[in-house]
Amino acid sequence: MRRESIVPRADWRASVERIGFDFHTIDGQAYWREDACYVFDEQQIDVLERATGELHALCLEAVDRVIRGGRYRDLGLDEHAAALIERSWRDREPSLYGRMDLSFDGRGAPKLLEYNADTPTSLFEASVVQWYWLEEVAGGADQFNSIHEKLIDRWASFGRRSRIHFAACYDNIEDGVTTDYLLDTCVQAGLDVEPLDIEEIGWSGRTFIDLADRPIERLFKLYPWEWLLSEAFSTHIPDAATRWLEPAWKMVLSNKAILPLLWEWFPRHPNLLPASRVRADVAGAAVRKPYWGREGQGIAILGERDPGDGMPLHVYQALAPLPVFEGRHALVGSWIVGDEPAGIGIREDGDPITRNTSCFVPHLFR
Amino acid sequence: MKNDKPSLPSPIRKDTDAPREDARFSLSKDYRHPSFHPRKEPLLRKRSVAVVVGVLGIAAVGIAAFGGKDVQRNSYASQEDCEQDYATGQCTREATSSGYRGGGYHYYGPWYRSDWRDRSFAGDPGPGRSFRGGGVPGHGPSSVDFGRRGGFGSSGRVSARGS
Repeated sequence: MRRESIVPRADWRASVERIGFDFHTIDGQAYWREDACYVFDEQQIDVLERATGELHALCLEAVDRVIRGGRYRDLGLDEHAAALIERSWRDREPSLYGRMDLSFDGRGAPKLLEYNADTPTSLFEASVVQWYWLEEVAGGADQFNSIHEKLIDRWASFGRRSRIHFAACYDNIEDGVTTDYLLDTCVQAGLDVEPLDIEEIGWSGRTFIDLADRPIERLFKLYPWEWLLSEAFSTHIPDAATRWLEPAWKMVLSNKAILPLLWEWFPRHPNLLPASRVRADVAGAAVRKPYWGREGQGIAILGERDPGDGMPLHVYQALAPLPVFEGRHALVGSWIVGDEPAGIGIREDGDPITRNTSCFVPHLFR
Repeated sequence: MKNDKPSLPSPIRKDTDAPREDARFSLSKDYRHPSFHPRKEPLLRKRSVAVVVGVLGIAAVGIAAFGGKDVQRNSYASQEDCEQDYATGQCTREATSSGYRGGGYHYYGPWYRSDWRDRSFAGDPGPGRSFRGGGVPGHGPSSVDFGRRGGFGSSGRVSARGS
């Protein structure tokens, strides 16, 4: 694994805009960077693929153990959430996708930093934008990326007579692009679709309804479960027949408090890091993470002798520093579609913590 | 392209040099989000996200227009009464809600916006002929069911959603 400086396409802005990628620059700063790329060899890609599949299997086992053991308090979840989780798991409600953030330097085993299992973004960049880049720039190379095909395949498994509603906060460009892209793959799978803003979902007294007052039978929402459960309509969720994507059981995995449970049940697994809700349990430098938080919010790196401050609803995970290439900290986002590893996207930052201001850099392997 | 599913078509593997048909775009530049511009024909786009910027600007208008508004529908004692107010296909029969003495069925018109008196909305079925003064005496709605919109989304106004 290495970072190569390369010459961007002369018309790269126009090239990515042609395929619908309009947030390549955010607040005047490049978000998409193609003045560099990450280069892997095939063996390293195999390692990432195997680790992702293995971690996904561990996560599913962990959901089952949480439910059987009633470990909801360890996750900060109340009875209301627990009931929804159990129903969705019992009914085998399928998931669509997720993204595992891994610390990987190309030599050691990839380490799971967190699982964005509920509302992962940077999907369009990983699935489409870097694929077109590869086609134009490095046609002889390969890329770990079958996200698009797997999404279509996954949607098709829901049955072509289904109608899927898509709800998001469309005033946010990244959410809008991610949701529209998923809607597109759903259309390509032959399903009927209906998008609406999350605020436009209605409650009829019996069921959730769309703007045409049709019942919402299956809803993809790019909106975290913990927010849904804190809002006015949450009391209707148990009464409605709506099936959710991601399903409620993903609440277990999108919660960083799953990290200590994974370590408890699979100690010393090569793809896991020591983690605990108690700082003293984690030797050496650690990272403090809130149970719920996105895009680096609330994450802090604690030195070896830093005792932490006992903040509630936070976990501590052993520090696995991201590899640094030319001063850039590189994070591997490894995608799961359905139950299969589907590809990777690399984000990098000058800071050790990856945030929403980090850059997306394409990759290839030879 | 790295993939473990040989049953999928050849475009998955980059080294086949086969064009990836599903990656082609077919959407016109003036395409707009179907939430706010109801489509007249099925979506045929492939990777159509080229329209997203336009979509987002329009979405903000849509939210302002619809966010947090109530909806309601009329309940009728019989299908005949419902069809005095609405077209036949707009009336549905449903079991009465729990707690209603005697059980049985009620007939309902379509959901419509509760603020229909303030202005008219394209596509909204409205309150029916009785409320508009064109109904048949003795055949109007027996009650009104109230629904609501805007019960989700408040957290999203202040924070990022994705992760």
